[in-house]
Amino acid sequence: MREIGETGQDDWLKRLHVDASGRDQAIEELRCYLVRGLTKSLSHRYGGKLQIEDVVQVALLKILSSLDSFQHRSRFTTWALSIATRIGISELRRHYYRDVSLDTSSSGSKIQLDVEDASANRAEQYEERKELVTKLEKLINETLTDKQRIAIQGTLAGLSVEVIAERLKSNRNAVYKLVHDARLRLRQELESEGITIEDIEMNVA
Amino acid sequence: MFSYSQVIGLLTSIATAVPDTLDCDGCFEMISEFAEAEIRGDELSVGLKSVQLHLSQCPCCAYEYEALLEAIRDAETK
Repeated sequence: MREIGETGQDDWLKRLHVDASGRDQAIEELRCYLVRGLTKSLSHRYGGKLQIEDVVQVALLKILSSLDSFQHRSRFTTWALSIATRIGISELRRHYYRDVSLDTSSSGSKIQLDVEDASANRAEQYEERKELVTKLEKLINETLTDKQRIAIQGTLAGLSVEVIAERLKSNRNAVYKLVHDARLRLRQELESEGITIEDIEMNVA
Repeated sequence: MFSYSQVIGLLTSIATAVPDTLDCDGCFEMISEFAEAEIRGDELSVGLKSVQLHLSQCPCCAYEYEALLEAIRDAETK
């Protein structure tokens, strides 16, 4: 079997083409390369409960069906690894967050933020944090749309936008935009209430 | 009820929020090119700077990118 380095990056497309002779060997070489790349890098993420061989099989199918979309902006193997990594992380997230609930009802219950466990050295600092969190809670509940509030609730619970999208039966791009627009809106609203970025940074330090 | 430690994460993302021209799929399309440019230490083109900005705004994509860099290193190790 050839080593990966012996296959020129442009040769991959030819060798993996559906009519190419030796295609099976090329697929096997790529499979070994992906397994070598993913085995350690995914083992310590989200509990690492994943069959790498299964992920690589799914990734190979995706890669082989997407050869036409490879734009030669990077080496072929880096492009293939990016696809396999994304598939692996998605699977890990799905498994890791399977028991975490998210209230996706459109009316969505109001979000409540707790300031009681805020560590503060001085009573004055505690009062500042309390004021900031109280304002933030009010802005989340009064200025965001229902969908934005649900998405923010998901991020507060530690869910990634990908998992939130799955729960909302939406897509990752749309949920990212929801969350990002909500953050920008909250920043703008906090500033209009006289809270500067420096104030926020002081309270999260 | 969300704890203050959970609120800190949200406040940090609010404090660092800036307009982002890419979505996650747009970032993914250029991520392998971005990874190689960063590994080589190349100066980033305008397009790749938009990837860099998206990664600073999207923890989901940033986490996948971190895993990709590790995978590239491991895959190249004979």
